[in-house]
Amino acid sequence: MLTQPTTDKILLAIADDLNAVIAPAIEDEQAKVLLGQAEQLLRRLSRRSASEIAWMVEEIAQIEDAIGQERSQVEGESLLLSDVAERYSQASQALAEAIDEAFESGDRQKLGELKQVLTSRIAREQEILGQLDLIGRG
Amino acid sequence: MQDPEVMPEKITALLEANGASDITVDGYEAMTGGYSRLMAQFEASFTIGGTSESGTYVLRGDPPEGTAIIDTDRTQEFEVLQAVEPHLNTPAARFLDSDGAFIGTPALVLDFTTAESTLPWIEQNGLTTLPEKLAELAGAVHTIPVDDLPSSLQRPASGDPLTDQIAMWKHTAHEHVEALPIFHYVASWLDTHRPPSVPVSLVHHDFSTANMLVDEQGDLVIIDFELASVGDPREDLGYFKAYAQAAPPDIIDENPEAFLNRYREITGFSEDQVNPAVLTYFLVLGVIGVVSQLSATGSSMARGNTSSTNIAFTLDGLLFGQAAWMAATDALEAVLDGEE
Repeated sequence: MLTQPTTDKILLAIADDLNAVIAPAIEDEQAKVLLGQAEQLLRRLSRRSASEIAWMVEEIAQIEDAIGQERSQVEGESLLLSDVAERYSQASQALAEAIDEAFESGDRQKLGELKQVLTSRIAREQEILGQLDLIGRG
Repeated sequence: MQDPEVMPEKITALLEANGASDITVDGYEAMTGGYSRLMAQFEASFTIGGTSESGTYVLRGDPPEGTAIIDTDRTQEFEVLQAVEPHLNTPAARFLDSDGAFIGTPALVLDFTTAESTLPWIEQNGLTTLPEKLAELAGAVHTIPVDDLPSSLQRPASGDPLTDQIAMWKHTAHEHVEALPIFHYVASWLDTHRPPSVPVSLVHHDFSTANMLVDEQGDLVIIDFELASVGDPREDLGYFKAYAQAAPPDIIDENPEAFLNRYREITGFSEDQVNPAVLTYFLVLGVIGVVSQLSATGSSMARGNTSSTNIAFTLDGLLFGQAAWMAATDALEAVLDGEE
């Protein structure tokens, strides 16, 4: 397979063309809104596609460390996006349950450790999101 | 609703069914800014109840099935609009097509308003007296007698709106297509930091500059009650601040004391019940109504039941929200720790 230019670069090129070439040619207001949303989404998807599998794999390990669970990642496991996303959701559920328990027991130290994982997650989410422009709202 | 060739005939049929005669409809044109619903404006003249009238009207209807970013009911919206219209500066709801028999989708017809969108108005005129005007609008919404509201409007099932909203955070996390640990954190945090209660009232639930206009007198006009329910009125204040983080400016922050004093004066709430820290609490709690709807449609798309650019785009608002909620809980915790 041809891997270059990578997916993120192609998505960015499409977003740039939509903005520079297609957008000025469109007069219909609803179509403009939809195009603006599509362009922003493509830019986010560009940032996401470049790193999302690596980010999920890293965070699964971070969650397991924070909740005191043995590392689950084994050599040769599937790196298909859907499989990694499923393992990420399972780890996230374990993190959610640990958060619930920490609140119930009033364990502020544990809660602080678990919150660190959430803080890292938010930092990456902000990297994906970039600037939020509420296209389509009055 | 997108075809200007057929819509005048459909609107005419709706008006006829509501007892209007001598009807002409033209100038049908789609509008943007409806967010969750399809919107169009048109010119019409007709006679109803022996009175002739003519003017501009707005048609507001459901988008095609499976593409809506939130799921709400036009009949309830119509009933709420009719109930609040005597109390608020809001365009009157005129006609309802509850099942889409005439328009092709459930829809309602509203009076058109010439008031301007709030953010462009602020760009041109500045914030001037808007903090007090906003307090007066919020106060007017929150002092409508609950008994005047339609019985179909949802009331707190547990009897306590905070308990219901916190439960909705947990429910949303449970129902979402993937695990949401930040929602778990927020729900538990909200549960352990409850402010003093206030009486329930109408809650708009999308109380933001996106649903406000400024009229010729400089007064705020409020629109779009599709998410309204009965709950804790401070949810609207918190939601307003949350939305303003994504679409500034925050009118409340321009003059918080003027806003809070005027709001407390109108509602009769105490400083313990409404203060900057309480607003921060509701900045988090108050968004769950919209967030749960976005989560549900996002999950539906992930499961292959629906698909649209708008749904995917709007879901990204949760990324912004998660950062804002965690920052708000940190800020409020610092304030509360300082008080101990």
